[in-house]
Amino acid sequence: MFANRKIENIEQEVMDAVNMARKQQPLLNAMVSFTEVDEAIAQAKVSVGKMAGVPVVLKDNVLTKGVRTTGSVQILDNYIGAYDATITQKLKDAGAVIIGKSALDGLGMGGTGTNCHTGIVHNPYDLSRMAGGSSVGSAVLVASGAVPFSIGSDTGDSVRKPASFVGIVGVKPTYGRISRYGIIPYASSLDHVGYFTRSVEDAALALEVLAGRDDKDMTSSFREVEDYLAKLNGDLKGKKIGIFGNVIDAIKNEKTLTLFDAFIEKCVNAGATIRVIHMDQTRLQACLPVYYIIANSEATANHSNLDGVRFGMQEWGDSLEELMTNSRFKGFSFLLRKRFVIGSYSLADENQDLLLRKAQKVRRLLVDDYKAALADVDVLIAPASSDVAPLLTDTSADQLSARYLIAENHMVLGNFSGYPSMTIPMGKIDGLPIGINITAKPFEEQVMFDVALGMENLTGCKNMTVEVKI
Amino acid sequence: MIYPFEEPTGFFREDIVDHVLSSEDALYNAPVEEQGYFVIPKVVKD
Repeated sequence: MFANRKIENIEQEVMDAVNMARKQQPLLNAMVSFTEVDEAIAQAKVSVGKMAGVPVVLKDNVLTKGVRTTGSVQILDNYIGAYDATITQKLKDAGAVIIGKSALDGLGMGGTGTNCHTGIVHNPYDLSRMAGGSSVGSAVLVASGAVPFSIGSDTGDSVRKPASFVGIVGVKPTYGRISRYGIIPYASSLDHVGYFTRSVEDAALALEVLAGRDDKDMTSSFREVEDYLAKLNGDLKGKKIGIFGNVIDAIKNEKTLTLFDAFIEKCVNAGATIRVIHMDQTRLQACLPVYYIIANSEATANHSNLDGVRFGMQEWGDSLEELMTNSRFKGFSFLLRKRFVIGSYSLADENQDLLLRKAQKVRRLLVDDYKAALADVDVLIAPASSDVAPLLTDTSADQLSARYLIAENHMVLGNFSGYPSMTIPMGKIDGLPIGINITAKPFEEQVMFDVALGMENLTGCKNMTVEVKI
Repeated sequence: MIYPFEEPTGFFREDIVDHVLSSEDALYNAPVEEQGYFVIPKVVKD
């Protein structure tokens, strides 16, 4: 933990983090690159910032001036950041020491950690399992004990799902709460900066560091940043908690349901009021298709600048068009090219009304439903996944089942709506962690953190790490 | 729905120079650069 703790020996703490991440790398494959830390350590020693001396890792889609930033794609493999992202600068100003960049599913597209340019990332609890994605490296390095804090980004559930699979805290605040300037985008209307910690207190402090208006990001909010840590109150008495009924109905795993029921009983005993809330089931089943259409369309537009002309990897051709085609064909994996094809199809003039505009309309209906679901409660909760982390070899998911469409993908509603949403550990099943997702109303991060702290006190799942073994 | 919600962000600002990349920084990552320009295949053929 770093909240309410002054790091006395900064150099030692940072080098311990670097050495542990290096030692774990052959097993976890979570890092893309390590950065020089000498200058940052010197600055941290004289810093009075809120994260002075805290070793941190950034997802490799966060720009760092003068440091390689690949987005985990071949086409950016040689790209050196031309400027610092706003959050990079904020972390430096707060005295944090960036020790390196972590692996992600290419450009943030994917939820398994198996589509990284640098290879598969492994779950520290069981190396034969996935750790989720796309912010997989950042999640794994916090869970393994290498660093107490890391940055991720969340377009569908890319922070909150891996947090569930590796037993840590994953936060996606309100859309506009943290600047996205200098983050390689995925889908602009859904992208959020998120982050990982091992405690709710650290999560509250971290948002104080990261949040705030940034004129360089036109979607960033003017709202004042609160003193989340100082105001933190974990008393659940009188808190109104909604259970996302559709998600519970879709979960077929008895062990998950048993763990969840026991957790809810503890909440009741702590004085919380519980209500089960259902959304329109038919519309809810449209979440994932709507997400794919919107996200892939926006990604196709955003990444049209990755053409091999101005930066990144270039594959020469006899004409400009051939150069771009060659560069993009070589520079993107099959999975990414497939997403761009879907995006281009949805963006085509003849298809826009039928696909993209329709998806945007359904998004509105879903968000209206979600708003109504949260109207009379402080937070809405549900297991962040229907089961523990899947095996790397598991490709059995029936993608048309309610389990897949709702139980595995309900957290995308946090991106559709922009509402603040976080995952904390709920407990373990057969030694593997599984998380609970908590969502609050827009800009009510304080309420979300308060409830999360109360729940963390009930589960006792705080500062969880796991020793990485072969 | 194009964006999550209407939140005043006031992205109109005074027309003053701000956070400009130098030519050196902008061209640093260029695969092929010549005299301050990106180089592409010849468009007008001989």
